[in-house]
Amino acid sequence: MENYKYLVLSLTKRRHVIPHDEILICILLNFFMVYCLRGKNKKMENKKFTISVFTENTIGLLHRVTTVFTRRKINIESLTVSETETQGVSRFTIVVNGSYDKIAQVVKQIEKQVEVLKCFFYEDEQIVYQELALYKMPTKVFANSESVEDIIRESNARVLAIEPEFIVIEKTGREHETQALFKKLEPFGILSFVRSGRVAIAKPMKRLQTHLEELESVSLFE
Amino acid sequence: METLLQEVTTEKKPSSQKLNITGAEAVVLSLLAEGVECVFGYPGGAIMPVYDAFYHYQDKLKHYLVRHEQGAIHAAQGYARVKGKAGVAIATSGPGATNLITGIADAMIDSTPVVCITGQVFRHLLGSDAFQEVDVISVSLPITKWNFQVTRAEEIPTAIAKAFYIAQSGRPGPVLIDITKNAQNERFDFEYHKCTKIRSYFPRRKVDMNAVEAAADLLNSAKKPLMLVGQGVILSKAEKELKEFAEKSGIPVASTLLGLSAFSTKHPLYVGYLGMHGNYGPNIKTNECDVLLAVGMRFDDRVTGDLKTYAKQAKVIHIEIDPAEIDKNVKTTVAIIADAKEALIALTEKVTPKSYPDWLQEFADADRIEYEKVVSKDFAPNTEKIKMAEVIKMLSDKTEGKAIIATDVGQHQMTTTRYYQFTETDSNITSGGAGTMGFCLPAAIGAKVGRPDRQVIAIIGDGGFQMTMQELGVIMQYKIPVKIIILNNNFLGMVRQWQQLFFDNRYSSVDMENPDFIKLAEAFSIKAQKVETREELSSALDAMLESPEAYFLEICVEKETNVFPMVPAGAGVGDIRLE
Repeated sequence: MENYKYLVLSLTKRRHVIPHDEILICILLNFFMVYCLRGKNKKMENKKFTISVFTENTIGLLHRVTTVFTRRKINIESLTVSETETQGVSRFTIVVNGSYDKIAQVVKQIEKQVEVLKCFFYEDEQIVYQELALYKMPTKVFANSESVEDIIRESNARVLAIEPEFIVIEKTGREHETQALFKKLEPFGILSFVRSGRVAIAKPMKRLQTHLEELESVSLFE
Repeated sequence: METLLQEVTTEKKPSSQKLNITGAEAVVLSLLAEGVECVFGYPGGAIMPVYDAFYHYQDKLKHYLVRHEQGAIHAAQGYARVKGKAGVAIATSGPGATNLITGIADAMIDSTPVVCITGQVFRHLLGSDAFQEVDVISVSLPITKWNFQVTRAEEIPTAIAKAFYIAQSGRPGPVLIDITKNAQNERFDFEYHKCTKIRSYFPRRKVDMNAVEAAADLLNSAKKPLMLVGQGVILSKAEKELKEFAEKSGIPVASTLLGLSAFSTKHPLYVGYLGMHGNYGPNIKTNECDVLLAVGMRFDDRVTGDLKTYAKQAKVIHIEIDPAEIDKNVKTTVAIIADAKEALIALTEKVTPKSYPDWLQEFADADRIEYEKVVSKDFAPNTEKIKMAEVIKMLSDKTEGKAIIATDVGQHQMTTTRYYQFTETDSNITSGGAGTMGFCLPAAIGAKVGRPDRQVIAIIGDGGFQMTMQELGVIMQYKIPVKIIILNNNFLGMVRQWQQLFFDNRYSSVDMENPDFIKLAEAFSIKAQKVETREELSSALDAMLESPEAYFLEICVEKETNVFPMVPAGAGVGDIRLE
């Protein structure tokens, strides 16, 4: 889709070299193609999705949830598990790439697992999300140059630990931000680097409990 | 069941309120509390305490000793299919448990309620590669609806209660409870409460009346509606409601493989059987109907063929209990996520009475074409040897379509399901989604145990029979009067058919040199007869049907016949081949 936008723009710019009716046809054709592709794009195009799975806190459930992805050959980009505000309920935050249709189906299959309470999936605009990265560096880089200190300040990173041999820097942010800091620190020698999975909170205000109550009101249990 | 428990209580310890028993006894009492009358299993080290408990409850709980654990799970499946409730299979740890796996996978894909109980090594040995230790929870995880490892005796009643609830509710399926040996030995205070709800589990939705209205609107204005019914109708015991709905709405009814017997094949609205080797009419008409109403089926690829050309012209209404099936393969216009029975009752109220004589005539015309090109040749062949279809036709006529028919997988299965004219429900026991060879014989045993009042006939190919033929021992030991027909073509017929059609006649490893099946059956003290000529067939079938005991009939059939019609793998239903 981006390509078509660009094409339309570039054609518009070169207006003076192409007769007007021709350019008009080109533009209309392009708009038409963009329009046609839009419907398809939404469902078929690969995108990043964040899946939130609310589950009972039982052994083996992680395996059950991940099997749904492995069966369909979907690679999990990151996975984070933690307790929620409700006791005994865990939240899995899973980031995957896939088409809307495929992920929607996967979400239903996850929700089908007996011990899964509810499963949601979001595009990036629908969530607030964050990651955390740790960088282990030799302590001597601080002694030898001030630029590392500057980088840390500029990047809103912080020093977590200082040991005689190494220091650990922490940076929270989105992937591109922690990656940018990685690039800046790399010339000074990074001993070790780790980035966490994404944690995400959905923007809609409806609470899990409300979802469950709704589901319960339309369900039969015998 | 409460009285039974009280009875047990008074037998054991009249003074105590709660029953202080071992985990193993708790397993038995929990099964009894769930109304289990029989189990199929095989003992071994890690399950021995449970077997010791069986010893004490022989009069209340019948145990059938199979000859291989695969036999236990398939028997439990056959039992579950005819009874409409969970069958139970028991095995020891390690190889005992892994031998159940094929049947568990089969039950999963065919939505059969089965509760498997496996022994496991002592808790302190878990993960240490102990003798006969296999991580059966992980192994069975993707093919069970739910599984759970019990490591303490007091977890047993809750685990078993949940197991039965989950296996039997919503879309049924197999569950597995793995019980460590220490948990079987430990004593605890037993109390049993049936499970009626799990907070994370929503097995069934109430019928959404808006969806029903929308569906009824589509159906009421339809010109060429077609209904596809699957096993969901049988699982929800909705046969009567289906008939009422069909008769009021006038919509022609086609059946999937597992839906067979839900709707009488002799009903005027019945237009045949769907799928790869189904009838010509319902397959081609799927691509001509204007509204496709699917009830309790999952649009398996053997039904749909190529999805890109499947029913593209039709508005699709999908009645299905499992939300994950909606839009999985075929996009729906209206989805009714509900139990088939409740949905059909609601829909029956909303549809206007109609009839479609011209549309039905189109099916009749297609039937005539199929009859000329396929059926007539199958029923009155010019071959020297008997054809499978002749046997099934004769059997169907002689039993008036009322027997329980178990089949294995392959040509004999497709021929049977094409030509046996089912008139009673719960009569078609076959391995559908998994296509498990070796399923038939043990499943037929389970079916006969479940329904001793009905004639149970196992129809098996010579290949599949040899996968689980050891279960003849069960028939011998417990005198189970199952009737067995081996359709022997000395070939793996369906594979051979594919090799002929799609691999230029290169017959690779399909030729079978078989043992003397008659001697084999006789070695198990089962009456046996071999049929080689057409003249013998009728009297042999009579002898088999009339026999009060098990009876084994080997019928030598034409070596190289092909099952037609056929939708070649990957082709659309409209491309069905008649020859």
